[in-house]
Formats: sequence, structure tokens, C-alpha cells
Amino acid sequence: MNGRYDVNKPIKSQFEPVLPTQTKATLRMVLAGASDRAELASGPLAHIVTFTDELFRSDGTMRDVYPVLAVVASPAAAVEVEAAIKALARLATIPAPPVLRIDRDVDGVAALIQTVLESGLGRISNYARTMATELVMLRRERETLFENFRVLEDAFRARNWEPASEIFAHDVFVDPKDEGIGRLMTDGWVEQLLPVSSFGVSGFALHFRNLTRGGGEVVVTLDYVENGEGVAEWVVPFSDLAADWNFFSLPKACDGSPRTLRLRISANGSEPPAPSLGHPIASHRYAARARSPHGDLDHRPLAIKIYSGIPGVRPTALPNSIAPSSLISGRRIEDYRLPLEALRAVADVSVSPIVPDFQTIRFLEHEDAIVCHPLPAGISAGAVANVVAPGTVRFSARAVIDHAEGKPALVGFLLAPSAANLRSEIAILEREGTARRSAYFSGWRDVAAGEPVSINIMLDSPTQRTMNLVVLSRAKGDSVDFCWLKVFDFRMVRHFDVEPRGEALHVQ
Amino acid sequence: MSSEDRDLVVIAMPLYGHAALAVEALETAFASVTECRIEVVVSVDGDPRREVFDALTLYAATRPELHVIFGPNAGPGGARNRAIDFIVESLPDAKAVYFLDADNRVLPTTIDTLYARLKAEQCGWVYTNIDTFSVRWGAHYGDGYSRLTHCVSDNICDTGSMISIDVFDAGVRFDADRQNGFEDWEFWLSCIEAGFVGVPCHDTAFEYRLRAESRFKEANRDRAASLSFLRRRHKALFRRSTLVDFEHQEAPRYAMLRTGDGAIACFTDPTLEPSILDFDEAIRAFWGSAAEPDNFHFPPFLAAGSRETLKLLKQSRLWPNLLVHLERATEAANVVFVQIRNVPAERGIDIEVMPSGHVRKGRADLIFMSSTIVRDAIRNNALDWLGSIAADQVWPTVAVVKVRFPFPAEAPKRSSATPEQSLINLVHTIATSPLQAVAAKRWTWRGSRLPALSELYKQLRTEVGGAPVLPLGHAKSGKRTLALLVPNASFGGAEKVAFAAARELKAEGFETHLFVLGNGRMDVLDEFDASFDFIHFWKAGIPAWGGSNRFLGQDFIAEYHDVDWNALKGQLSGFDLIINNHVMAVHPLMARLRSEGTRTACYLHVVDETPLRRPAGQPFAAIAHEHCYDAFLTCSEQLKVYLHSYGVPLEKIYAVANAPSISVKPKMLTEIVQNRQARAADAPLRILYMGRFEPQKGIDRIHAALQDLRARNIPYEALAVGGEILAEQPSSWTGKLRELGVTVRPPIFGGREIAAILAWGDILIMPSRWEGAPLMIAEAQLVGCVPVATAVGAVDELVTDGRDGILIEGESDLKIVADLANAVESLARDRNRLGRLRDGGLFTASGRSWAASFGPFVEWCDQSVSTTPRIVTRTPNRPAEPQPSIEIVVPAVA
Repeated sequence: MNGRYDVNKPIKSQFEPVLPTQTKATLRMVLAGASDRAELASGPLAHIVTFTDELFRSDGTMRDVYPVLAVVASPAAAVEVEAAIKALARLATIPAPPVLRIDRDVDGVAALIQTVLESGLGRISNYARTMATELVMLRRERETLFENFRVLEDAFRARNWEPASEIFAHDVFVDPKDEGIGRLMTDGWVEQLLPVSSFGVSGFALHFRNLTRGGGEVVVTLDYVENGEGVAEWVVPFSDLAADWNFFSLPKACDGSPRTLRLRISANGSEPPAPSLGHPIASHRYAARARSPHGDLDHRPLAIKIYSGIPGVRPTALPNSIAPSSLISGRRIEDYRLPLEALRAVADVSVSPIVPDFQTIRFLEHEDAIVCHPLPAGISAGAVANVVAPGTVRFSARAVIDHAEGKPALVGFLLAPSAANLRSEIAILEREGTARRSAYFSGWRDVAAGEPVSINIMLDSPTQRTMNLVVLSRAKGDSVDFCWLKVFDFRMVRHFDVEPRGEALHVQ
Repeated sequence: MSSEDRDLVVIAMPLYGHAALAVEALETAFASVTECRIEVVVSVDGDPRREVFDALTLYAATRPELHVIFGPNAGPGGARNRAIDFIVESLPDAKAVYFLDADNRVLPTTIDTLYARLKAEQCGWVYTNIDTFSVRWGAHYGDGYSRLTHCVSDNICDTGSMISIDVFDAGVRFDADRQNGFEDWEFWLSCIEAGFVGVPCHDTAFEYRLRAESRFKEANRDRAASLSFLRRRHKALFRRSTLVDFEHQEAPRYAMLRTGDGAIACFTDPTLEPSILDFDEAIRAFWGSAAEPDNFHFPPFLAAGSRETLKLLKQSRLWPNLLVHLERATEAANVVFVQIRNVPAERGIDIEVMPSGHVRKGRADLIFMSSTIVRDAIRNNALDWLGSIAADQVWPTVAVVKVRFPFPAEAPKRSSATPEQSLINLVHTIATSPLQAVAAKRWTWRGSRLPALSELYKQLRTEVGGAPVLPLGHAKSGKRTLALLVPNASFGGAEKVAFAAARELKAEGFETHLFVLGNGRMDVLDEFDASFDFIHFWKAGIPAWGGSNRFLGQDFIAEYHDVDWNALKGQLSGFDLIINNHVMAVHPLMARLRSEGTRTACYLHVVDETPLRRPAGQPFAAIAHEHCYDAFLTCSEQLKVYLHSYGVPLEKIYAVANAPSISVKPKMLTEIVQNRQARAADAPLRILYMGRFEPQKGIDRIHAALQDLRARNIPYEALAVGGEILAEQPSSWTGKLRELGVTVRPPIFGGREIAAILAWGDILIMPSRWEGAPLMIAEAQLVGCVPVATAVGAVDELVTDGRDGILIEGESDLKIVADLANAVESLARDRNRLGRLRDGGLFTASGRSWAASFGPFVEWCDQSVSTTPRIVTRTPNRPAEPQPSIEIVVPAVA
């Protein structure tokens, strides 16, 4: 509980204990007569006993007391306990606790009770709590199953298997003053709330006005507003988009409670194709939004069509169908950038036999870029410490050799655990061509002068802990003259589980 | 950040009957992903299921953040209160409380998102839309929070809301009364009353379990009783002034396009600062309200006029009343033109409805119409039809409202743009906006649950029980409000006395409203013109008399009679004090107004007589409604006793001795007295009569007595000031008097003129057949004019025979005529006696004042009439400004 999704804090994982190992120290489960205070107040039951004169408050309520057992050590206390049990009956909820007489060997019996309550009951409580968590999950799944079953049954009986029905459409509106919102996608994202209930949505279509020649990807994510759970993600190379309507299909229609769907579009690459906008509307909430204000977005939503129907089936009028790159059901997605302070602190961890007479690794203040000049031998490496948050599944950046006469080079990235010896990691990479199992290596990518390239790392599974990012470069040919390799536009995407659906909670 | 540094949010869960579901709710609560610390307080409300105890004991064993209160059954409100008290006492660093019902669930982000919004908005509480599961249902509760909607339509916030701890620190709790089926709604009303407001949050939700049958459904079956409970419990919230204040802020009724600068001022209460829209915002609001009327507000009435016109109307004191007339006029015509005329001695409002094709005469100073007309014209492509309002021939039906009142002679500056053309320009701009293309499409996907914001004025009408609703909120500076009701406002004594009451109460700190009911005009009386802050007319549908009922043989009007009850209730609701001065049609409303919190008083002046001498008149209709009034005012001790004889308790009756309705400055009085003393002893006696020329006033007796005096050769000069009541008199008394050499002058109204005329007369004759306590006697004595009057009504309370005037006893006309002539003759012959009576009158008058006369009544008002408390919006964590009127003290009057 109470984990928070900022990059400097680990999220809950299976490495952390999910259940407390001890029961609540102050849980008062034993009722005793006030007359027995002297006998019990200093004994082993002292911290779990409630005496009859402190059982009820002046308003007749009982707070944080759970009398599962009553103990009596004296006749006077027996009378008091009996009266208290009668008073408990008036609350209706609490069964009369069994009364245990401990006239002799007070401490011995008390120790036994303590052991049973704190040890045995504690274990049982922990187990019951696990079951309660599981019960909640099962109930929720049962609700969804029942609802879906009914939808299927209705559709089957009615034989109305519409492959894809358009349930909402907002057409393209070209305003001559539009400047295009492509830049917004590379600077951050453009966000659009869908004006339909999520229930039954099987896909949507976005319109792109024109395509660009440059390389890069448009990243589209769909999630639920109300709980932040992700639905799916599409990573689409520019070349796969049509200058028309593009259908983004879901392999499974949205189910569960009806919620608001949020579409977020971002891109990497120099000039991403921009989604078209629709007519202006009065609603501010349903207008498209971006991280920074833009005149085109003033009360204008994206041009969009939304479909329900059989998942994976594209509407006949929309030839270009795009399947999701990943289903992120039950997880939250966060698109985050590296803080400038961290980039500014880039450290040189190069491994090379050559000692250069100039600074090969440095931060370019006004361009928010890291320079990683290769050397004729070895690997130049700039490390940015502890910036890759747990749960990161994708990393991207752009690189260019910023000199007209710069010789070509190779660029790559390494994600290494915080505690790792980075020079040692790079030495292994240099020596063996691959990284250790605990690290991720992007592979090498060619970069030429004046031709920016995008580098993407898709991890097989989310990172489990905070990691270091290392920018790598090495010579491609014999010369590294003017090979001013600049790396910039660092973007990360991380997923993290939303607990009620996460089975991790039950891992012991 | 250490655990203790994080804000503590407490989830409070009342538990009864959901033993099998509570653990599910707890699980979701503890699964919250949040920066806050979370503690959960379960308040077990005497649930007889032992499963509850077992489950909670097991759960508590592993959750130090769980607290459980076991208590006897107290209902949902009582159980929640126990949780609140526990939080306030035991978790003092709690910042907010979220109520989670034991059968509901929260999402992992619910708590974090709502608390972040609560902190950002600094509001009282943050609420979500409602999405149910099991039985699926969802509702959108608006993009903005409206207290007016929350009061008059339905409960719009579930208890599953994030509530600032300041709400509980301020003492707000749930009502534990089990008669209250809507304890959640009642709680929010308490929050509003304490000055807190809510804010919606659509970025998260909670899961509301809905089954086929529920407690909510059960409560709704007895909705009427529950609503009645809420209104009784929160009287101050449901007062017109409070609701109009909310309306002004949240859904203003009028949009006024200023022709000079094109700004659109939105307001309900014209005395308050309006909110200003520019064209762009207005267009967005117009089209937004078409598809999403629960999220966007465009005022339901649209007007245009110049800044100067508005200034003039505000100065006229008629502006709120005019708005009521304009609203009503839109029900009879498509468009309303207002024409303002400067009339020095009169105020009035007249309305004329013209058919389609009307050729107009003169331009309008202000134009007014329903926004629905604009909407229809755009939808039906009828902009040319609407555009004709700027032409000479107007195709929409038109109501012309002519307003006249005195204003400074210099004509108001006229705007170069006419109101008609300015309004048409706005309509055209709206109609051609790109927003129109998709205006029919609703983007908010959850179904609308709230009434249209632009229709809230109708809900307000339903709540108040009248229409249109007077567009005035609370009086300035927490003043108490007085409505003085009169059937006409001319120069009659009864009106003047009532005006004097208003003047005294205004001096005491009341905001005073004059309602002329059953009449559309009034004469301007300089002496009392400043006694009223606002003046209202309503003529149609208010009979002066009538009804088929009989009370002691007298007519009275009941609720089923043909009276414009809507107009009366809409305008009279919400005043702190109403004094009914002879408006018969209002009696049946008084009980309702009183039960809503208004203090009511009835001012009576005279027991009239029919031609056959049957006692009749206003006192009987008032006695028939005795229990509706908290106080009665009479002009005499005699009338007080008379009312008591009909069962009105003495303590309820305030006998207010009449004082002069005019004032004379000491210097002028000295001059008058010196002139009187300087008159020659043999100069002809100056005989004065002032009043209507009608039998009640004894005009026939005057004529006969003057004839007699001529026959006796008594030298006199006579002046009669007044008018004929032609309907009742086949022949002219004016002519007959002139034949006797009497100078006849038309009625006069100005205090100075009245004083001058009285200063002329040596004696004032008043041989009335019946009277109350005529002001004219007190006014005559004020300037040393000796009254000679019949001892009818309470005249003998004003005149002590032989000391400050002469009283004539008896009923026989012959005797009275003879006694009157004798009295006049004796004064004509014995000027010393005339001098003694003059001095006696001056002495008597010097001891009279309205302040002294109204003293006991004003004292009663101070004790019994309290102002409707103003709801002062406060922000948690910021101390509310001290407002003496914040206390909710509305004494029960039912």
C-alpha cells in the first residue's frame, strides 16, 4: 500500500514482504473484570486485555476492542465480566465470549492464551487476509465474466454479430490556420478523452493528414481515466500509417465497469505525422490536450471514430488496421523523461586504452543532449545514475553526429543495475559483445553525420529496480574525426501493476 | 518523506447488513495507491450478524490501520457520526475523511486523486460521478458544482466523497433522525449551510453496488415526507434570498448585452455585481447548453440596453420589479420592448401586448426575450423573422412595457447602437458560429442526471411556489427586509400611515420594499418618497375585494379563488417581515409565508360601513386570518379593543397613535403662528375642508352647515380641497359648494402644500360619518388649525373637546349639521376661544411623533424579526471572515 509512482522510489515487487509478519500488538482480545487488574496488569496478557471498567465509552460504544475471550481470576471479577457480557449483547454484533477461569496459575494460563492469540490466531489472520484479497479479485472477475457471458448470449440469440459498428464519429475539420500538432507529440503527448463508455469498445480510428518521410514511431496508448489502468499500446512506425483513417484494433473488447477511455499519442522521430483535428466543440474536457498549449487545440478534439463489435475485425471502410504492440491490461502506464539535473551529472565511464586530450563525455546545456565522442579503440560511455525507474519497459532516444565532416560511428545504450560496477559492465560488453544478464544492452546502431536516428529498446519484461542509463559509442571505421555524437530526446515508458488485479500480492 | 509527514486520510465505513461484503470494501480501501497515510474506521451499527465481529477481528489482527467501533444501532447517520467523532478525537492529524459504504468499493486511485483535488481546490468536499455495478447504471453529476441544484433538485453528491476535516471541525454532522430518509442529502445541506462547497472530480470514481432493491429506493418511496423534513430542517437554505444568491452566482437568470461595449452581464440579482461574458464565452455557453445542458449554462433570458438605461433603471428602484414583469411578459409575447418615460409625480408600469405585424411607435430603451426564442429562431432558420424587431414592422409578437418614474431632467445619453440591432448581431454571431455544426452531439458519455442549468429558474419557481421569483438575494449589510403591501399608493391617510411605518423601520435598519398590489401606479409623495429602497407594482390578477366566502357575513378570498397566486407568492416569498396594509387578496398566502420564516403583521385603520350601516371592511378579512399574523397594528386604542372583542389577543395588537404625515420646520411654524396671532379679530373665519367629496366624509353635512352659516350671516371664507368620487355621486359637490362661495381646489399631495393650506385655515371641519384616526386632524393641530370633527372612530383619541379642538357628538344628520354650524359660529364670534383651542392643538401636536407611536412595534420587530442568514462561502484552511449573519437562527413559527 501507499507506493507512489515517482522515479526515485521503488514500486512494490515480489521482493518485498507483502504481509506483516506480526499481528497488531495492541489488539485487545481478552476481557477481564476490573477487580482482576492487579493480577493481570503485569502479566503476559497485559497488552491484550481490556478490563470491564474501560470496555465502554460514555456514548455506549466500544472502540478497537475485540473480546473473543474472557478471563476471570476472582469472584468479584466474575460478576463484572458477566455484567459486561450482558452489556455486549446490547450491541448485537458481538457473540458472548467464552469465560475461562484462571484462579490458579494465572501466569501459566495467561501465557497459553497469549501464545494462542498472538501466534496461532496471527497466522490464521494473515492467511484469512490473503484469502480476502483473493476473494475480492475473484468476485470482480466473476462480475466481469457474468456480464460478458450475458453480452455473448444476447448476441448469439439475436445473431447480431456486427463485425464492427461505429458508435461515435467526429469528422476531420481543416482550419486553414492550423499549424499541425506533430511537434507536440515529440515534445510530449497529445491526449484525447473518448466520449463513449468504454464498455464494448473494440477499436478506434485516427485520421492522419499527411505522412512524413523521416523515420520514427507514433506511440498510441489507451487507458482508463478513473483508475489509470492501461488497456493497450500501439507503437507504429511512420511508414505503417496511411494518410487517411487508421484503425487501431483491440484484440479484446473493453469489459468490466464502464469507464472513460483516454488516448495518448506521442512520437519519436524528427517530423512525426500529425493526427487530424475535428470541428471545435464547446466542451473543454473533451477537447484534445497537450503538455504545452497550442492554438490548434483550442476547444478542438481529434478527428476520431470509435467502434464496438468483434475484436480484431476492422471496419470495411478502413483498410489500414493496426494491431496493438502490447496489451497492458491491469497496468498503469507512465511516460516519463529524464530530469535535466541527472543528465547534467553525466559521468565518464569509458573503457578505452586511449587517453583522449579532449572531453569525450559531456552535457550540452542548451540542447539538453549528451555528447559521447567515440575513440578509435574501446567504448566511450557516459553514465546517468539511477534514472531508469522500476517498471520501465521501453526506452528511446535520438542520436546524430553533429558535424558535417563527422565520421560515422556506432551508438548504443546499456541499462545496468544501480549497484553495478559500470566500467566492469562495459568491459564485458567490449570483450564479449553482450551484457551481463542483470543488464540490458540495446545493440549497436549506425549513425552518420547529419542524419538523426532513433534508438528504441523494448524490454522483454519491466525492469524490477532502479537502474543506471549508460550512453555508449564506438568507432565504426578507422577514423573518429569530428565524430561529435549527440544523444538527446530521452524518453522512457514504464508500466506498473494496479494492485487488485495483480497476482504479485499473493506471492509469499 | 517519513510516514508521519504524509497527510492522513481516513476512510470511514458505517457497517450494518453487509457482513458478507464489508471485507471486499476494506480490501479495496487498503489497496489504495496513494501518497497519503490511510487509516480506516469501521463503525458497526449494531449489526446483529456475528460474522461482522469475526471478520473484523481477523482483519484487525493484521491491520494496525484499522479501527473498529462497535455501537448499538443508531441508523446510518448515527453510525457515521460515531466514526467522525472518533476521527476528531483520536486521529487529530486527519486532513480528510472519505466515506465508503460497506457494500461499495474504491478504485486504487480513488483516494489519491480525490485528496489531491481537495487540496488543490481548497473546497469542502470533492465528489465523483456515480458508476454502479451489479445493476449497471451511471450518471454524470455536472462539470461544475451548484448549490442551487443541490438544494432544489436532488442530492447530487454521494457520501462516497472526500470531505475536508474542516467540515467536521466546524461541527457539521449527519442527522441521526430516523424519519430522515435522505440523511446523505441532509448532510450536504448542512455543509452548504455552514458555508462549504463541493467540487466535482471526473478523473476517478468509486464502485457503487446497486441491487434491485435498496435503501435508497426505499427512501424514495417516501420522498415527499423526506423532502419536507429537509426543508423544515434547513429553512434558511430554502429562503428566496438564499436561493436567489445561489442562482446569481451559479446559474444567472438574465444575460444583459450592453449596447455600448458589447459586454454581456449575467446576473439574477440586479443589485449585485454581474459576471461578465465576452462574445466568445457567450457563444460557447449557448451551444454548450444545447447538447450538454447539465454542464453549460446560458441564461434563460436575454436582454439588451445601454449602460445609461441600466443606470437609470437601477436608480428608479423599480428594476427588480420590472424584471419580474419582463419575465411574465415573455409568456405572452415573443419579444418585450421597454420604453422609459420621465414623469415627475408618478411611478407606474403598464404592459400592452401587440400581435404579429405590429407597426411600432418609438424605439425601445431596452429589449428582452427568452433565450428559447433565439434557439428556436436559429433551429427553424427564422433569423429574418427575429431580425424584424429592428424594423418598423415587427413580426414576432411584442409586449410593450411602459415604465414611468421621475428622473433628472437631462435625458440619458443614448447609445449609438440600438438594443434591437445589438441583440440581433449577437444572435447572428451565435447562429454562424462553427460550434453550431456539432452542437447536437453530447460528448459527456455518462447520462445526464442534473436538470438543465438554464432551466434552474423553473425549479426555483417550483421551490418557492410562485412565478416569476423576485430576483433579489440577501439585503446589503445583513439588513432585515420589510415588504409593505398596499392596494394603492396615492394620498390616502391609510397609505401615509403605512408609509410612516416603513420610514420608521427603515430608520431602524430594515431594507424596505413597497408593494402596490392590484394597481400599476403610485403618486410620488415627497414626504415618504425616500422611505422605500424598492418599489413593486403588480396589477393583474389581484382583486381589491371579493370572494364568495362569508366570515361573520363578510367576504373573504380563499386559495381557490381566481387570484394570480403565482405572482404573489413569487414576489412575496423570502421577506423577513411583511406588513399587509389592506391587501385583501394576500391574506390566504400569509400562513405559508409565515411557515417559511417570514414574520407577518396586519395594519388596520378603520371599520367601514356599508350604505345600510353594516360594519364591514378590512378588519373582518384580517380577523378571519388571525392566526396567520404575528402582529396587528391599529391606528387607535378603540380599534385595538374592537379586534380583541373578535378574539385577537391583546399582546398581538399594537395601537399606533397617528402623527402628522407632514413635517413643518420650526421657522415656518413660528411664522404661521405669528400670522395667526396677527389676524384681525373681525376678519372672516377661514373654514377649511380637505378630503374626498363623498358621504362618508360628510360632504353633505358640510354643505348644509355652510348654508346655515350663510343664513346666520356669519362672515367666513371657505376652501374645500379634494376630489369627487364620480362613480358614487350622480351630482357634483364641487358645483354645489361653489354656489355657496366656497373655493374648491383639486387634491394636493405635497407635504409643503398641505402645510400651506392648513396654515391658511383657522378651522378644519370634518363631519365624517365614520373614520379611523384621521391624519388630517393631527396635521391641522400641527400648524394651529383647529379641528371641528364628529366624534366617530378614534377621532376622540386625537381631539380633546374644548382643549385642542371641538367634537360633535350624535348620529342624526340634522343635529350634527346644527352643532357644526353652532361650533363654527361660536369660534367666529369668540376669537379668544379660537386662540385657546389653537394653542391647545399646537401643544398636543408637539407631543406627537411617529417614532414614539411606532416605538413598541419597532421593539417587537427587533425582538422577533431576524434576518435570513447569509451563506458565506468559506474555504477550508482559510478562516472565514467574521460575519454576524452566519448564525442560522430561524425561530420556529409554524
